[in-house]
Amino acid sequence: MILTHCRIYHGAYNLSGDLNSIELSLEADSQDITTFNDGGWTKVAPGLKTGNFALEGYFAAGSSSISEHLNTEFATVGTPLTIATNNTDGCTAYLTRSATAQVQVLGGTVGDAGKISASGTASTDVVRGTILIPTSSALTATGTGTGRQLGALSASQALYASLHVVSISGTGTPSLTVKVQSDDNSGFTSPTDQITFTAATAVGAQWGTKAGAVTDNYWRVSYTISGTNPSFTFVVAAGIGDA
Amino acid sequence: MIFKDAYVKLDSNDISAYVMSATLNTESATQDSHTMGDNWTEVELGLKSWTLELELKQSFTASELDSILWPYFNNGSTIAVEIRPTSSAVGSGNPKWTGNAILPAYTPLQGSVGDLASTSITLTGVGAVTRATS
Repeated sequence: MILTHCRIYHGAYNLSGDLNSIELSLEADSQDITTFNDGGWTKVAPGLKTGNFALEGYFAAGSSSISEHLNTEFATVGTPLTIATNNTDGCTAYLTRSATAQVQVLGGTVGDAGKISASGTASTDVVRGTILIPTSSALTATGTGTGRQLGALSASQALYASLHVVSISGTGTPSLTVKVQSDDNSGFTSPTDQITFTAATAVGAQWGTKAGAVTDNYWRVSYTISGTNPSFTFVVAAGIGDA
Repeated sequence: MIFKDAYVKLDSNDISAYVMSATLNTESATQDSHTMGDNWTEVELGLKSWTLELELKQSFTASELDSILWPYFNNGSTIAVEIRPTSSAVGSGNPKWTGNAILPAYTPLQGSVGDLASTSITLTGVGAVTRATS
């Protein structure tokens, strides 16, 4: 696979058009548990996990630019961050909330394309999930996304979901309400609302969770759009992690 | 021997098709044991440890590499590791090394636009690694 279509959503921004490099690294603190019974070999066990991210791209200023966004995000904790491996419905995505600790606001040598970069740590669990609604096209009417068999939740698990609304247009107060639903069959004959995000009337991002146990193993997004000539571009990712 | 057919298995997952490079390291801690009267340092060997470094071609397709590695990291589970120089049957000319390990770090996504998606992992041994020819 060649990295050509990664999608990076941070808060209300789709940074994919500004970034040319991405790194998401995860680490568990190794704890030595070697004893005299271990035959002279070391033993280790994984401890607390940490997620770190690093984004690099090209500088651009102005309203709704990457420079404006990262200036706002510097030293901010809790912004939903979704990193998708592609821009297709059902592709793998990693989702978390960020603590943006470093921003290189501008860099480069005369004649270079100006650079910008940011890095930080996940401020919560990093969850491996799936894109349930991609931003490949704007949505203008109420509907549902494709159902995916993500699995059931045990009592020690939770479903985590990120919603990034990156553009809105229309009149008559356009509004978008997004829900993550589950069912025990792929036809969603009797869906249950598991996560209901706050109605979005402006660009922004939200983070939702549903604690297990949930026996349903099919999941999808249901969205309600209202207003006059409304149009929303948004992405939803969801995955199962530790509660 | 040209290294082009290494066999790497994690539990029941043969991941050889993803492996771009593999390095099995074994190490014994060195403890200084020189005393008064010694003109040279003396050492004794202490605890042994091992790691398996793998550079892998990443895949996010269902059931492929990322879906195999993620639960190893996220769950902290112990992994039964096997590596051989070639995929042929184990023998005196094709020994196998086996042991249990954990995956304490994982970078699922890294690179610049246009790069090959890849990841490098280091499996850390939990207990002994054993060499066998049958």
